Amino acid sequence: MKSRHTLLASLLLTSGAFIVPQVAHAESRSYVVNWFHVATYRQDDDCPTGLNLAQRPLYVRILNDLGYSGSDIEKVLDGIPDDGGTDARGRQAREIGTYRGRIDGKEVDVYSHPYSVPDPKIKLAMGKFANGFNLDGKPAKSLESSVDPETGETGIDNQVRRVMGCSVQFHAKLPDRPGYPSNEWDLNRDTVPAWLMTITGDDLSKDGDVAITFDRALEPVQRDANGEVMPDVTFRIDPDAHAHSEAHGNITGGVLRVASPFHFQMTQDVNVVADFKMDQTQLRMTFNSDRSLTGYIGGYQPWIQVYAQFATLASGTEISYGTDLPGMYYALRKLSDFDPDPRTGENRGISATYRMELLPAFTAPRNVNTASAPASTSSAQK
Amino acid sequence: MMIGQFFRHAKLLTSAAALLAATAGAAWAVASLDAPNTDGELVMRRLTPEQYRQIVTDVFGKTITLGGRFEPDQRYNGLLALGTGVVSATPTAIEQYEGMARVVADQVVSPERRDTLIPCKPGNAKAADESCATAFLTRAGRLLYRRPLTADETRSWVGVANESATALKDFYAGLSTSLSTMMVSMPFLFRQEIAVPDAAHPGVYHMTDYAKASRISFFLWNTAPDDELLRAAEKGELETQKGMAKQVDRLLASPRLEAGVRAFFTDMLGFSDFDSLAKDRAIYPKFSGKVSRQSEEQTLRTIVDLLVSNGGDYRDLFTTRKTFLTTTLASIYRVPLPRVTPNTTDDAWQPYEFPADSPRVGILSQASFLALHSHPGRSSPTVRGKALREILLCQKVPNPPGDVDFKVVQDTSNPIFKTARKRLGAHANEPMCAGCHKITDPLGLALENFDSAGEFRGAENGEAIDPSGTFDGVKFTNAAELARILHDNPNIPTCVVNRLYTYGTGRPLLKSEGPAVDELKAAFAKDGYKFTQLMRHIALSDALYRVPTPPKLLDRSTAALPAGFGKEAQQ
Repeated sequence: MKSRHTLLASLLLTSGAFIVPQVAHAESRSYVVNWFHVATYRQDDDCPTGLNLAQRPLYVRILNDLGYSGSDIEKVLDGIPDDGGTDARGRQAREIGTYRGRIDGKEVDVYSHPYSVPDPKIKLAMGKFANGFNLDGKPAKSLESSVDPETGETGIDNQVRRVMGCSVQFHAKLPDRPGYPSNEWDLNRDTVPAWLMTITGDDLSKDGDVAITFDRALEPVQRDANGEVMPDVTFRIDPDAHAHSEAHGNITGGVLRVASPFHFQMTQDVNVVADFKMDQTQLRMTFNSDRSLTGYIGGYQPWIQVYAQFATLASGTEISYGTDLPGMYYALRKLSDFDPDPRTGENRGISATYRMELLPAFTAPRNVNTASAPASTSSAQK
Repeated sequence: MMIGQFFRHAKLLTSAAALLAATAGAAWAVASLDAPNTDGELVMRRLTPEQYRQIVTDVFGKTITLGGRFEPDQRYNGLLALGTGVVSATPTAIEQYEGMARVVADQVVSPERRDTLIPCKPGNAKAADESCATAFLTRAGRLLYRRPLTADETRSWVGVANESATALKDFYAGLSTSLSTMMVSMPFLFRQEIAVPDAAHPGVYHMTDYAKASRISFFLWNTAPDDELLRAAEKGELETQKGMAKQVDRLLASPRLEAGVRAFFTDMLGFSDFDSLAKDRAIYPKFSGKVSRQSEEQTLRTIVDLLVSNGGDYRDLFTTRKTFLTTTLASIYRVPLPRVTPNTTDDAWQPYEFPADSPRVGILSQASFLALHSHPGRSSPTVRGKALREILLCQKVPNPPGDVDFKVVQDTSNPIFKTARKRLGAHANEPMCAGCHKITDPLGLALENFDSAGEFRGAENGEAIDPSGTFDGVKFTNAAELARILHDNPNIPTCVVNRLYTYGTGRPLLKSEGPAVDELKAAFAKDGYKFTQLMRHIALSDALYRVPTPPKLLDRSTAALPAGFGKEAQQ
């Protein structure tokens, strides 16, 4: 049987009646987000002096900065597992790290007040390559710009990658996912509403213009027999305007891009702040033979938001990700490259790119009982 | 509990178990798989797990839980229902029955339930109370045994209750002992169908009215007769066609008919195999345990909706596009199915109709059939074709010879034979294989657009799947067309008549029953193949209750506990 996609369908759902998908005119495919994380993947020669300290060595450095002697450090860390552990001794060590900030001589939570310690000057990622987009349209002009290893595009703006790229948990090699963030993502899949993307066009198997929408679902994902995200599940769309973004795009050679930068916003997902905002957003997604979509979304984010999304995990991020959070704070601030504050001249935004992986899904409006409701189908019989 | 009391208590239970083992053993010799029942003897059928659960629920309520495990039933002549007439109960099974019975009995007499389930209160809760024990045990015993207790039985069970209550200084513990012992006795665990001499026709036997009541009830509801049906038997109402019709129609009109229809199709379609169904998760990640259970339920809901709720034509099961899905199961079919309300769960069932251009037509294209009759890591046109022939057409397909080389068929990554059709084509070149594959494969290949988990696929290893074929000389191009051909094939309704009839009798069809079954087939056709009408015809047919030859009968006295059982227990 010839492969084909179901056209934009509508659901006739009345109480007790059978649901019959109705054929309409445009083709629409929906996807559920199966992975969304900063694109800080390992590139050749990106960290020539090695990675930032993580786990026990990072503890040692923090305690050393606080003036602990070698023997005192050994006492504090004696018997504590590398990741800090969760027992009373581990908690004690974490507390020391957490309250290492000083303001007017008083101990403060360093994650809430990262400026309360001197800049530890974490190692920044370097090298020629970075996944992302040329957001400012200036090809390879600035020192920060790079080349995208997949497209060869020059002038890539992805300063977040420079900030985090030499921390152990941001240094995975594609197609692998970074271990700790991946676990964290997985742990929260069953409770956090899924993110959705829908593409609508005349014929999505051909090149052409399309409309792209992003929404949050009312439901979390479902799991398959392996515990992975199950494709082809139907999600209801959350009508909250804060969880909705739109863009115009086009498909060329099996790759989806936006026609012009757009404003991307979404609410509440793990590893992402409660109110995710991105300006000048670009998108590049590849249609794969297994019906998944993989690619990148990038733009400028408030750098304080980027800091916050990792600082909320506090010592968990610092110790397990291998990122000194005050160091991240200072680096984000320093490498910010967008939206200068007219008052201070300091940039408030930073270029960032996120790796996004999507699986086919169906979407439906929240209240499917009220009317003939369009449901987009991605995966009809194929 | 004092140690001495415990041992006395245990002794009573042990005696009951020994009795069951001894009594059952004598009865099992009547029929076995080695000596199939071909002369129409009445059979003793072991309760199926579902029947056991339902009877406990019917008698003591939904909140009673069971512990323990049931011994698996055996399929015989295509049905577990026939297997229940040729199985015994192993010592392990008896242990399990005993454990379950104790769990049930303890719940029945528990302080929170005793006021509801026991119709009286003892004069002294720390002593035996013969009157109250008699009231409870005769009432419960009538429902559990599907007939009134005999005088001997009443004496025995009340005796057990009294002895135990006295020993344990607890009326309710005594009642629990007696009840649990009753629940491991033959008349409860086995459906004993008794035939008695017909006074009006010397040399002729007929089933007792209580045996008839059990047949009707298990046939239509898959459980023991309710109070009203037992009362009808008691009054002799089941001896007349009018009285029978009244009860059969009452049972057919009840919502509990659904349980009976489900039980039959669960048996006929081999759904007990879902208990051990597994797929290779690396190949079919969607096919979780949840999807497996839901695919079984989907088909049963489809059947009940068409045949019971809508009084439909049995043959339409092969062509209907109407079904029920959950949002989880919809993923297998790749169709949109949102939750209806904010509080709807992923497991909530919703009616769904596949569109007219969908390849999903009838129950053969549902995940239950497709997944059940496939290998863990690949589909199998041969297995599917064999299942279709044997289960739905009642045709026997020979087993493969023992020395067949399946290498080519199993190699799904073979670069030359990319599709199952090509692999089977190469395999069937072996003359010893070709004969059977001609019977099975054309039907199974029609379903090759559905993989082992029931998901649709247009191609295998990049090569388009060709689902066309010929069945009984009629060409089809895909599964939907095959479904239509099957719908119109006369063997489809004929097979279900045979299956349903033998499901009712509990033994294979006898040659002598041919004319009666032919009448049923004719009536089925005349009624537009309405399945519930077929159930009615069978339930009202003389054939269902006929005792064809003077069997090796158990008379009324042997149906009771042996005389002196209660006394022995008290020693």
